[in-house]
Amino acid sequence: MARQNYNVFLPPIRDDVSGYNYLSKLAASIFEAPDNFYTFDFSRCSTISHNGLVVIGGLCNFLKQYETSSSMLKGLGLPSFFAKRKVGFNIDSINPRLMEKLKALGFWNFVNPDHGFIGSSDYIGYREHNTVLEDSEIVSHLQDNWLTDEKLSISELLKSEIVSSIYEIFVNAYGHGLKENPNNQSVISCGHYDPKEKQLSLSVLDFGGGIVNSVQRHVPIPHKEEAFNWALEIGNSTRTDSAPDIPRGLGFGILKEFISLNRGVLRVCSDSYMATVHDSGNYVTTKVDGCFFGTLVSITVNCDNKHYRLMSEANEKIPSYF
Amino acid sequence: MTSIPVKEIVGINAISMNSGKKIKELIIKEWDRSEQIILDFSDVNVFASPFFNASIGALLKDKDIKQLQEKLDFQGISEHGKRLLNLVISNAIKFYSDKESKTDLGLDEVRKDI
Repeated sequence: MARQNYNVFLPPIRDDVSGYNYLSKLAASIFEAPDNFYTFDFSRCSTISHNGLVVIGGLCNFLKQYETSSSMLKGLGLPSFFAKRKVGFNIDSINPRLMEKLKALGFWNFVNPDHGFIGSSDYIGYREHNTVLEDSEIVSHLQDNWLTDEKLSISELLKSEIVSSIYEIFVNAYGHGLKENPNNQSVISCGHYDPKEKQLSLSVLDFGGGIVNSVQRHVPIPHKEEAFNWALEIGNSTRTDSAPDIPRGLGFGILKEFISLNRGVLRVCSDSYMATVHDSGNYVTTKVDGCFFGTLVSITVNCDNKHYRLMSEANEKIPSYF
Repeated sequence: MTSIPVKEIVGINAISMNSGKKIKELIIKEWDRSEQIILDFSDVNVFASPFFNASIGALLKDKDIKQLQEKLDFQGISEHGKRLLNLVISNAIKFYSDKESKTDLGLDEVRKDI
């Protein structure tokens, strides 16, 4: 079939239900037709949140890697020259404020350096990570570059709980992101700090096939939504990240507890589902219009040191063995 | 009595499974030699569940919680670290006692993958 050129007219994309619905549809459309060429047009887009940037950046990464690996498979042995043309950006009529934001977040550094590049490494923003989890690198980066006293004023205790929770997100992304990664794709993250609201937001995306697929390969739960919800329960794991006889399955439970005590927001999107945790502390699962073919975890954390409790102050009873 | 200085072995972040495995190996090495093993977490700042899963949780495969309580002493650990530790132990007890139920379903499949 002939390759076609498509213009993707991006709308404003916010960290809300309509934003996630749009992103799931966009991901589904592109995953279904990865041979085509796509030009992302920003003329109708006034803003893009962290969730939008990881999905758009992740799709660009997917298209380029797909082109490279499919040409390798065809026996050419060299990266395809089409790879460079896979993705384009129409920024002629982009809102200048959005353009500045994309530059400041380091989006272009990874996606298209011709459109802007920031030299410093200590920005809170967009990143494409190695295909192997560099534990101390991620934690040091969060502690030394993100959560510095100059950027936000929080206690050391809260800082270590935020770092710990974000690390759990990355472990989760690499757990299933690496296992099903035929195109050698990166894990993508995008952080944003809102100094006015004193809120730190972060999205982490992998296109590793998604939670439902992973659960259904290992546990006989035929219904997709049930399989999705099963993975979110504390103690449940598909054990794709290491030896099968080591207990695990706590990542989402720890995140949920942290976010509800912090009065933040947690969203886990995978396949055609989105689970959201607000103040109630419980997951509410809804269907989205498209499909992610991977997992997107987004959090918003309050950093004002007053409207929440720390995990170490939680009332919930965990047996006290030590 | 033996003291394991965790920071000297894994650094200031007790987060990864690999770090946890190192601590577990040291504990096993000292288990029969020492009446008590002190795990000194002084100056360790960040904790995450993979570390405790691989270090302490994994010990519960062959030992029971009473043995762990008699042998191990956690010193200098933050409240957050202690909460994670107890959560991991609670999950590990369930995990290893749940061999016949759904937790083990698909295990053969996973072993094949590995």
